[in-house]
Amino acid sequence: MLTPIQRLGFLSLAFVRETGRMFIFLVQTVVSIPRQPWRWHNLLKQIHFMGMRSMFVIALTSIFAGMVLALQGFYTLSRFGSEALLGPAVALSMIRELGPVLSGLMITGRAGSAMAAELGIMRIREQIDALEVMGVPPIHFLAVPRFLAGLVVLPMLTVIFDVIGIFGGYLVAVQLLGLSAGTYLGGIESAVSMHDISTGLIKAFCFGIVITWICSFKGFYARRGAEGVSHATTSAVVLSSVLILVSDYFITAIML
Amino acid sequence: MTTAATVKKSAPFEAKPLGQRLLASGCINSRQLDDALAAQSSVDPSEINHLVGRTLVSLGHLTSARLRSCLVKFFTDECREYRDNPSVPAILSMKGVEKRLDGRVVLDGIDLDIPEQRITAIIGISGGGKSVTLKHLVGLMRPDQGVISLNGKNLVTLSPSELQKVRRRFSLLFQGGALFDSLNVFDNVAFPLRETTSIPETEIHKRVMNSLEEVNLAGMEMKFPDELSGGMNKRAALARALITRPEIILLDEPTAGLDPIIENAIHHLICDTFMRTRTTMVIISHSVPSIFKWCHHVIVLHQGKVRASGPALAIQESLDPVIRQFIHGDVDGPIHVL
Repeated sequence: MLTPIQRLGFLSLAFVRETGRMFIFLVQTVVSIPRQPWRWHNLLKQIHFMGMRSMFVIALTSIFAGMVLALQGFYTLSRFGSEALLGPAVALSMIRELGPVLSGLMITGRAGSAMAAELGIMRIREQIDALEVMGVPPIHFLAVPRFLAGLVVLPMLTVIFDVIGIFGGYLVAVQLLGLSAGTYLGGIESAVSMHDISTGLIKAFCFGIVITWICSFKGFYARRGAEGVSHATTSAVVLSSVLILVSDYFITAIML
Repeated sequence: MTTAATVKKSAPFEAKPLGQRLLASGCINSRQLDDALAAQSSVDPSEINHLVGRTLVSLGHLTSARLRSCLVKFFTDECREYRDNPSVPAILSMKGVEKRLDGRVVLDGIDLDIPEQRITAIIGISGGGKSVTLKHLVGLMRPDQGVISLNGKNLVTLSPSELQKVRRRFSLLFQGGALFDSLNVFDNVAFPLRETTSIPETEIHKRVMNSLEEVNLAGMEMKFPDELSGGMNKRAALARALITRPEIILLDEPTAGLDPIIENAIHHLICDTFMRTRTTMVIISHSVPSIFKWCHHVIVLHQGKVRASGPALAIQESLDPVIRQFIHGDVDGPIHVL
């Protein structure tokens, strides 16, 4: 029976060990990127899976996020007679914050969980061991294409999220609430700078790293059958989501 | 019975080419062999021994059943010869290998030698460390202590990239097959060639189709692993293990969960492959006592140690109560299971 102090020590050691393994996995993945052969087919397959097949979810989420933002924003701004600022408010919220964060969370839920489950099943069915025995480095074969796909796909989906979100805001502001199209769009043009756009894209890029790194790692080292895969998938989604929000704060603080 | 230490370094076993053995045993006559060799005139010389049996069958000089029975007879003769003279060089060795998993001692100072160009079976009760031993042999696990050597080269001290190169000399048939779910049978079998060699696609296609024919899976190449039965899955995995023509093939319970007919078919397939390729094979098996018929050498693992090691026919006659209980499957005896 462990005393509370022993338990704390045990948990601390386990945390340090797991964190160390995660960083080693990240380094091994990054170091493996330039190694040949380059598996373009695997990369395109992952881009298709993470990008194309997430489009519908991203479009649906973004349009409603833009719409609700416009609705809430209009009633708040109208208290101060600043309805004209609705366009910039929606656009800046989307581009700097909601676009990358919500895209990251949606991709974690849709593609990250599938990634962890797929790799977890490969692990427990000894397919990852089979790769090693064949002399095919599993990190290079499995983790690198997913990692690169995340780097490419997240910024692209974020841009799509931003555009559709701003359009959702336009629908509510102009079609529903009667704001003029010129006021809504003109405000956006003057308020949004390249710095805002690059901040959003840098965040998306970082979230792409976080999602593919955590989800690949958790799947890669899944253990103990179906329960282990389910545990790996859950912890991949939870940890990725938490890290997205935590890193969002720090990136924002640095880039302001 | 001999111990592991009696597997000495000596000249490698030289087997007659298969066609010559079939001729010498009276299975075919010299005209039929000449026909088969003439039919193989366009075949790569290294492939002639590999394909002669199939060519004889396709020319109608031999039925498949007759070829199979000839091969089994040759194999049985070889096993008898091996019992009388077990001096064969060891290709793989473990010396003083210890491994703990989750605080439990799984391997407790294992010393064993795998004879070159022979089939070795590792047997023992479940949880005795057989699969862990196999994973150590191929470098998937590193021992806490001890040496694992391949042709005298210590695998334990190799860097990951060196180990990766060494692993290409092995093939491992996993217990569950470990076929990739997202690839069909053809792509699964072609996978090691595409990933680790620069062989052109036309040659890969030819070799995969040959390999599938050898394991009786011709026509199944477009099926996915979840569409195959257990026996087909094992055969596809065997085809993938053989396609790279490795020096050593490790088979982790190739007949587990299969009915007796499929089990026998897999054993015939392994024997057939061995007689054609003379590849060193290591089989983990629970098919006792039938496995004694299909291997030259047997290693018995018990409680993380090598209990006995030697020619299969000698081990089968062992008076060791643990081995007797294991062979006969008795509930009562030195191994307490209930």
